[in-house]
Amino acid sequence: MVKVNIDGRDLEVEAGTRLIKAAIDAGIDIPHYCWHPRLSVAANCRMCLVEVEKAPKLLPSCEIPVRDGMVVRTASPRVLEARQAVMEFMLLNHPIDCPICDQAGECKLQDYYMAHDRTGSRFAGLKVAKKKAQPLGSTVMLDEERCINCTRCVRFMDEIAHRPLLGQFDRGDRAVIGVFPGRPLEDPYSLNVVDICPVGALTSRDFRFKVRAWFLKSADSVCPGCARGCNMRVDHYENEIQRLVPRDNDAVNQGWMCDEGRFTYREIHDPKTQITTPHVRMASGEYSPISWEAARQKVAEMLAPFVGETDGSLGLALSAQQTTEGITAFVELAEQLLQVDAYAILGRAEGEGDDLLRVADKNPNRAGAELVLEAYSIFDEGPDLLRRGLEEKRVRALIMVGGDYSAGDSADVSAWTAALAESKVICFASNWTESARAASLVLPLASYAEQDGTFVNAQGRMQRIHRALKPLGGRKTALEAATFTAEALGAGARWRIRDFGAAFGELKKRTGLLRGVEPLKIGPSGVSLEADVADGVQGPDADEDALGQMSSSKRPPSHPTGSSSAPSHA
Amino acid sequence: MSKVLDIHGSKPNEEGVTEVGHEPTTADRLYVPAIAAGLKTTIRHFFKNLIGKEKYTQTIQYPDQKVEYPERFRGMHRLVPREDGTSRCVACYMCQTACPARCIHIVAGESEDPSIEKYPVVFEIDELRCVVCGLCVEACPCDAIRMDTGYHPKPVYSREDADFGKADLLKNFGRHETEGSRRTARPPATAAGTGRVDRSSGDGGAGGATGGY
Ligand code: SF4
Ligand code: SF4
Ligand code: SF4
Ligand code: SF4
Ligand code: FES
Repeated sequence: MVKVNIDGRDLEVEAGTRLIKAAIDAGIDIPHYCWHPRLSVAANCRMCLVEVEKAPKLLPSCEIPVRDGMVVRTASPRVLEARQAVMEFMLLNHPIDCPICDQAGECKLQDYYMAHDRTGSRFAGLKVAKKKAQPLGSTVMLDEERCINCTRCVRFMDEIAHRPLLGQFDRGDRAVIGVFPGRPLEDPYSLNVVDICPVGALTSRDFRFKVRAWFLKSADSVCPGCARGCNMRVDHYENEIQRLVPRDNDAVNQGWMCDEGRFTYREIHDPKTQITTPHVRMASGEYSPISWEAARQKVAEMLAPFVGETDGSLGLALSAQQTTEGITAFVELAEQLLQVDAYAILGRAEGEGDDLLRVADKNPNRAGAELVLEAYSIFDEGPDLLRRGLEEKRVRALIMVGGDYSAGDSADVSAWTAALAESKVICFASNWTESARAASLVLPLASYAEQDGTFVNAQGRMQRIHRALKPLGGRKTALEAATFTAEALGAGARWRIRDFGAAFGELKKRTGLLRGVEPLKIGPSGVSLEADVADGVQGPDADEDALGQMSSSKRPPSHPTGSSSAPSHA
Repeated sequence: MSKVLDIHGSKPNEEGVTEVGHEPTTADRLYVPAIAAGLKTTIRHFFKNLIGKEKYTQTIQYPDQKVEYPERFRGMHRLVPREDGTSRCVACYMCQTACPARCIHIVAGESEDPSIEKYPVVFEIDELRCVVCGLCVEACPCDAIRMDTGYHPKPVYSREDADFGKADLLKNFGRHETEGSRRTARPPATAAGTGRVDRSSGDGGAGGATGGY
């Protein structure tokens, strides 16, 4: 620990901390472009210059480690003059095409110009013209003129994604960022360079020209793409998701997100597959839309044989894509009103995993679903046993919450859909999946973006998702769907689990893991359900692969070992 | 007996509302004195118009007579075209952002012309919702939208007809010349003197910007 004085404030910081980090952590803002808390130090933009007593020149605070007794001034007249000069220099050749630049509104050049420059141009010559709108790959667009050559993007691809596809070419005012011929920027993490580019040089081709940044409304959420549960912000406009961007969470995703996760919103708005009204299967096999009232009668009729004491041949399939509260509500429904014999957690098929963020389990809440079944001491049959149950007619009717079924190969899928088609199936689903297409009654279910709830990721961290959109069409959240089913069964009067808090409360009564967890007080980075969650959550048929993924996912992404490039996590 | 409230010294109440004026007097409650006062004015105007030298009448015999609109009259919108006839608008959404009536609807798209990049696929103004404030004109960085047509939006039979699209708004250009404007015509738009780089000429951004950043 060393003592430094920044702007008259005495601070005690770890030896070796960069000055800029010490200042920002203490709430003193130092403008910067090239420095990024999770990347190595390049110190090339000179925006972060500060005055250090006894040093003859201004020093870049992103590079200088704190020393004992340092006296630093971040806003002295000399510093302010230098900042203005740096800004003027950066804007010399800048095209200033903010009107057509997607970054406008969240651009560091704009922000710092307003805060530290605000002067007109004194430049009389011709600006250096470079190439505009150059696709670097299928996801990222480069505008060479807007680039300030901070090399954040180059360092990200090198140090975090470990695929150094980007480079800086040429010198001086001709310097440009680019890719090597025949090696486009194709990487599962490519879109992170768009987030860290402080200006509009790199923009997302997916988000390009869709909506101006200041029109967006945001809700904090968690990526439904895999069991990592990356923290993200849902940016939406006119009840439509426009983009998904990561939020910082050191315990989960640092500040990154994979491209696959960013595109998960497309499914929600896909007009071809989305389900927004109840549908019933006709004798011909076609689906025809029906009213909610007709759906209510149909549900009552289909579930009547399973109310009270029966021989029991009803199954409940819960998707690991649903919130913990939605799953709890359906389990409660089964416990209170129905005689359910077979429970299974289904989900999406396994996909690719890696050692940065992506986990092979493509379901955001498998751990949460397992936690609920564990809390109710229910045996999870899993997809295969349940399918066999359907084939052997041990299970003759099924309620599916979420139309997902994890199947590796197509043979599995056809066996599954055949088994479903034989039985009476009520499927709550957001999209026309294989399973939904085999159900006798299909009811629209809200996606994660249309509801509040919690997800538990593979590390056993419970995280909140917040509602971003109004439910599309007539979609109901899993909680509302459980309530609807209870009402259809004529038990509306004694059905208590009508909101997020009530469902969470029921679950909390039954498991020690949630002791002290207040659903509405879960912070933006979630709560870890203690180390014993991993043991508590795993059912009798613990998935070895998932466990393996979990331990590897706990490893932070590897960093280069160069002494000056050790990243400090913000 | 009437409690006159101090207009200037009044403090907002706990709801933040400042009460001004006075409580109605008995004369106010009777209405008759107020009606008589109004009639006095009417009768005075009647006789002044009948026999007086200075007339009060403001009536204009439209359509035989038309008022001369002032130079800065804000009429129906038009989109300013480039030389090739396409709109100058770069779909920056500044007008939509500035519009207090939220009546501008733009959908941006990628232009095939690399020197333009972004252009409005859809540009609609709902003239029924427009409050004719002119903020859209002020906001436009390209001088692509103007309200100098000199005439009002035509009456329409349905609400949809008041949604003017890009083609309609472009057609408005120069219509004041063919249909006769009530406003002194201005020379057609050029970028000269706006202090902005005219990117519409396709110089790939190499021009020198003269205005502030
Ligand atoms: S990078 Fe920033 S300053 Fe440059 S054109 Fe884009 S918004 Fe404007
Ligand atoms: S493209 Fe963006 S992140 Fe990369 S060097 Fe240029 S300004 Fe920096
Ligand atoms: S004149 Fe005012 S209300 Fe009408 S379109 Fe322009 S900004 Fe909107
Ligand atoms: S402000 Fe001008 S350039 Fe921008 S969208 Fe409106 S009309 Fe087009
Ligand atoms: S942030 Fe320090 S030089 Fe760029």
